[in-house]
Amino acid sequence: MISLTSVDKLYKQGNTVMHALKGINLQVAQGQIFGILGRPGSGKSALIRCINLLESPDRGSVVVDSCELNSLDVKSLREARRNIGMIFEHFNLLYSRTVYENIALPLEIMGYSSKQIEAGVRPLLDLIGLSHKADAPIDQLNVGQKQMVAIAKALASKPKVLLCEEATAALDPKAKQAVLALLKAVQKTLHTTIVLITHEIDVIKTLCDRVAVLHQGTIVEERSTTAFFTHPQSEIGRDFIRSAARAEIPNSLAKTLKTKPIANYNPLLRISFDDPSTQGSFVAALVQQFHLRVNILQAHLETIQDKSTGLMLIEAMGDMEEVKRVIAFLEQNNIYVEVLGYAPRTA
Amino acid sequence: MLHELLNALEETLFMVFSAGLLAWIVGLPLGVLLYTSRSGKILENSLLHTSLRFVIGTTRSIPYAAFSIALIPFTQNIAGSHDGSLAALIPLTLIGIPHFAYLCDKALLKVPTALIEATQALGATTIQIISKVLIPESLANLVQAFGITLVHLISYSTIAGVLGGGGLGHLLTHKGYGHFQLDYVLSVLTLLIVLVQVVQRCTQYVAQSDALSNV
Repeated sequence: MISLTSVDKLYKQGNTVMHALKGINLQVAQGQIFGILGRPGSGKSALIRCINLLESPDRGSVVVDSCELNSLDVKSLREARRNIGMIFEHFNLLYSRTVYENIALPLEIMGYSSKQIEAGVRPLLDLIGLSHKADAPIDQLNVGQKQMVAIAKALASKPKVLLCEEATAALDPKAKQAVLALLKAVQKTLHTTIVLITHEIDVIKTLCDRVAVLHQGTIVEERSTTAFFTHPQSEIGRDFIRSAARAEIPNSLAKTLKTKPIANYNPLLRISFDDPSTQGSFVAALVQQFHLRVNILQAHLETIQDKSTGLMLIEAMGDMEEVKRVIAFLEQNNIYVEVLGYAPRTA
Repeated sequence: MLHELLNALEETLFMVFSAGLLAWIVGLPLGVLLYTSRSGKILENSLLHTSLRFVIGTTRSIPYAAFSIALIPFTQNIAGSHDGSLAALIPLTLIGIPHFAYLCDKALLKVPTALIEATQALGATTIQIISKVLIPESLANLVQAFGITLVHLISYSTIAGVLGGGGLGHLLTHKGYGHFQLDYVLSVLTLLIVLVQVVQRCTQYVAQSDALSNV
């Protein structure tokens, strides 16, 4: 549905040139919710704005729904943009219009009659549950409702793609959950392809099918959300996961932790696995097959995309040779292991 | 005296509101052009923007008395005379247009760029962005700008009266400058003050009315 090839974006300010995007390659399949995760300044805003050409890339091609946008003339680009809805962190609604009139705007732009507009707007008001606020001015809405209206407005032209620019960053937790649920429903019922940018890992966790991590203008990793949460590959990706998962080393242990193996120290392992039902069986295998004694420091389930994944923090009581064999065994069984450090042997 | 005052008021109202109406009709599109031709805006054109800014800026900075006198040949040509209210309308309109255009530009600048971008993302044409976003979103500010323009036009119209035009300014010159007649001077002053207040209150009221107050 969306394909970006070797996209570069430069910003010139006086004599300095900022390379905001470097050789971005990205494929988003029809019906996916695709998350672009990055810290502030990573270039994610430039990236999402290149998809509907609010920013035109300096190099590379942008193809949406089999149409190469950056080779279109102004008129064709205007028409192509009606196929791409967009919502923003600060909603960008018109205060001179009511809720109904805001949602009607894209249809007015397309030259629809007031009957056609009504037929388009009413179902969207129902979808966002704000039919009773149809004639209310925008300043009577709370932030969550404003973003709901912005979503309805973005969907009015029945676009195949919806772009979300930090759509939940300005919302309180309750409004955020409501907006995320709405986006999920939009994907399920309207089969809209959604691309979102965010710096919030929990948005990725609850919503996205795939995720790309952006750092200093390049995509450092791109994979399914479940794979990302269980086996992040980039340093930045791991940082994001660590900030989200509660598998932190207890304070008392962290103080004594060494980074290199030494005698009389036990490795501390963080183990993540896709299928929580296997947890019992692999712990048993460690004990029975490898005669490894384990001290479970933490174990919990994470819900990613309605699927549960498990996370454990264990102290493996054995020498490094033995532990290496265990790690190899676990990885063969699709269980991801990360050595966090070495703790002094207590038992 | 009452009859003279009412006649003069009527002439002043005619000059101010005709010039004001023309200033709105011509000044608003000029203001929109001044705004949209600015670098980074939707009709970016630096030649057009610089020329407009030069013309509008220069006209605005000429004191009205000098402006009106300098225009006498032109006024004479168009109106056939440079005396009377109809003749005074020409310089008044010509100063009202750049005045209002300048204030329109300032009002439009208050519309957040993000709103324009969001509308571009919907595939809107330039005309649609102007008519559906720029003007409606700044309407309250535009009405206030119009009020300011009218107040300036009231002030200019009295100068016009002194320089041969009609209205309250003419009455004031005739009755106050020649042989100081306090009752006339006070009445004209009162009428002018009331007129300015009424214009200000009215535009304020319209700008804050329900339809525009959300902006």
